[in-house]
Amino acid sequence: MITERDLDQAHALLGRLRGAINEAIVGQKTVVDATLIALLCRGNLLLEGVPGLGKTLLVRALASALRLRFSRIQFTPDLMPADILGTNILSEDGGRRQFTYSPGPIFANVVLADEVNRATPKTQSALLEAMEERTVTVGKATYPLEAPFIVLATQNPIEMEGTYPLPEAQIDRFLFKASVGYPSLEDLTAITERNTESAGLTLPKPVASAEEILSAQAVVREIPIAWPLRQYVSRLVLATHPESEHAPKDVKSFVEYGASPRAAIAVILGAKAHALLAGEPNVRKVDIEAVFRPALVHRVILNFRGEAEGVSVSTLLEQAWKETPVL
Amino acid sequence: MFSLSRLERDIAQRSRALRGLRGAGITFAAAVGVVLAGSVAIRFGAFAPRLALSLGALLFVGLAALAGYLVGRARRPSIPRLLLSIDLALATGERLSSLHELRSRGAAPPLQKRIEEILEQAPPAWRRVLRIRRTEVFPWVAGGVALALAIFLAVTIAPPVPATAADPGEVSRISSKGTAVSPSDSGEAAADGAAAGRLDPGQSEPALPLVDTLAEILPAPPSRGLLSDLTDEEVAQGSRSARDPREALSELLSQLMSRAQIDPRQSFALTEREKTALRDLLQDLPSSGLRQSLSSLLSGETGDALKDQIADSKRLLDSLNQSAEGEGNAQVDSVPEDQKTDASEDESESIGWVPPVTSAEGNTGSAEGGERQSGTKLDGPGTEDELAPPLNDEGGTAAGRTGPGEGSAPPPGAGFVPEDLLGSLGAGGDMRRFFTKGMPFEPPAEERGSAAVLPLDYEALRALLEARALTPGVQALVRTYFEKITQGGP
Repeated sequence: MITERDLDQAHALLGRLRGAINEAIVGQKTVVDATLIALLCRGNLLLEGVPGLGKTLLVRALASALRLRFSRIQFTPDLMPADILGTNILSEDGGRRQFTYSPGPIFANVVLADEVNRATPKTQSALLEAMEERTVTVGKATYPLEAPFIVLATQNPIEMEGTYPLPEAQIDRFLFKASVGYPSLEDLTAITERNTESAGLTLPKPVASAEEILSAQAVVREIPIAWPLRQYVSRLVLATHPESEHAPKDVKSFVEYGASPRAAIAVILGAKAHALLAGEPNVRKVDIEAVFRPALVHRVILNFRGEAEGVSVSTLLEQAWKETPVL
Repeated sequence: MFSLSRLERDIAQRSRALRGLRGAGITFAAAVGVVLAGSVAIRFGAFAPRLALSLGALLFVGLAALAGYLVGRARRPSIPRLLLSIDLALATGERLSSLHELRSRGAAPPLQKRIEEILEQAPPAWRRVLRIRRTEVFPWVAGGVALALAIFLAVTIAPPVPATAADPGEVSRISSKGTAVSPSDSGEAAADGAAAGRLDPGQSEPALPLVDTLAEILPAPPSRGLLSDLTDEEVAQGSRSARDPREALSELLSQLMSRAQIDPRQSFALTEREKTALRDLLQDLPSSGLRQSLSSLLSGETGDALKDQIADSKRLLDSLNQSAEGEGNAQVDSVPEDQKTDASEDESESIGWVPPVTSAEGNTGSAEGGERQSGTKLDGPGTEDELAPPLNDEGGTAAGRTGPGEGSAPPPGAGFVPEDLLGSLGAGGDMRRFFTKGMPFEPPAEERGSAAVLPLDYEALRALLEARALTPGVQALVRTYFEKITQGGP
């Protein structure tokens, strides 16, 4: 049961975090919000964008603002699962030799999986358990990860050579997929100013502890959502399924697989976090609208016809949103 | 302090009332549709309009609307959906529905408190959302218009009376007498040129508007007006005799003869239907000779024998009819001397009526013929003697059958002999015209000049009416009628 104090602390924490991130990141409000929402929802975030847009910087800024352990893993084709999860090494203790587990970089609170699609599927799959169950299994031993835990992965959508697209099982484990776009003229000017004057870019100082993050995560789950709105979210997710009666015409034509139940959970949790981020005591329709597309865009799989005709999943989601009535 | 419970109670009541109103509107419109269909049916004569029917229709509409209201109101609204619809309409940030969710779960009191504070500062004007909308008013408007149309159809437009199939034989016989009473409504008959044409096919000039004199003196239905002293049996008798059995028999025999002519088979026989019709007619025929002749048709003969019997029966019937018309002519002859010449000449010239040549007239001037005729009529209808004159042109035969009343009956043309007209009127066949609201027949324009000297007046018919033993009420009605059509003069 949350208290008034928890509620006030959560609002204050989010304000501080947003301010700290904005010290390093110019603009990109949507992406920053998506990052904070993923953190509050105990989810993972997939950041997609061309190089140089500040994806890695955003994650570093967040990690810096949080008084938490941060790991960065640069994914390459020769990266092995043990390089992420850790491995058992032979050690000698008092003349007795034994295997001792040496944790990998996954054992952190904030993990940056940079260019995650450059590793092989085998290595990518090493993240599955950590992202969903918050545990790591090596050999016969399973090790829990410390809360809060969040994986922030980046990938480059245009440089496809030598990459391995994320398997559906893994991509479904990302709460959101946020597309990092080009900054506006004013934002770009501010970026150049920050990076070329005086000491250059500086990361923010820590403004939040792990306890505060966990408390805020608990508050998010208490944010109420009306039962008809919950049904509305379910109808929205079902509208992405081609076999569903709620599906728009284009969804039936171009979609092979619709969004999973994780998508509905992601939308509702994300809407709650979005409401808290906005200072609202309850979920509104606008909160659902804000998280609907980032929560579903990576979970809808086009069929061959959709791929061949270059249909955008975002367009299909827009259609589903428009054609699904609230009541 | 904001009270969600009170708000939920209020909006639930309002919503149920609106649902009831919507249901009532739908059932009201549907019921009015049914009533409108009924009115259209009345308009086209499917059934007769009655006051009870109208009241029942109004009651039906009212009950349907009430039932729709009760059924609509009985459905319990979904409070969360109602609250969310109010939230969305008023852009309250989905506070109401969220607060309902929190209260139903009993969770997060701080959040409840914050939402209630927000709602307290800006109470939602939910009545603006739960109001009567155009879609709910539309069934009432449509139903009201349809109801007005139904009432207009049922009340202001009189249903048309189905056209009566006039018997050509009957019409020609009526027109030959110069006076006809249409069985249909007088106004319809006056307006309907086709109906007038049916009355007298020989006329090319359209009939002039007729004055329903009888209707003027019969403000109420005959059974409740001047004919109120008639018993129900008398009225029923008049209704039953709407069709002269001899006319029906004549038609039937004509049909049989036609069929016999085109059917060369030796197995030619009567159908069961024809036999049944013959049996029915047999009971109504007054003449025993004719009955005997018809009985022979039912004896089971076939082929040429049956055809001969049919031809014989037809000839016998024609003779009987001619005899009856000849006796009807005696009515004209019975007009007083000062009117007789003009009337008979004018009538035969202007109306074109030619008295049928009967066996009785063939014997005009013959004492035997006169005796025979008067003698037969004194015996009354249904005696075998009635058939004697047409069957036998020999006066001796007729004279040999004269009855006891022979000596008291005056000869034809010597004055009005009421007994002679009994057979002419038949077994109550013409009585129906006294009961039927109708129009007097008017002759064509070129013949109308002499219409003012129609020989028919009450004094000339008084003896006839007395002989018919009509009730005083009917006699008064006939007198009033004749005074109307003659305007006091002859």
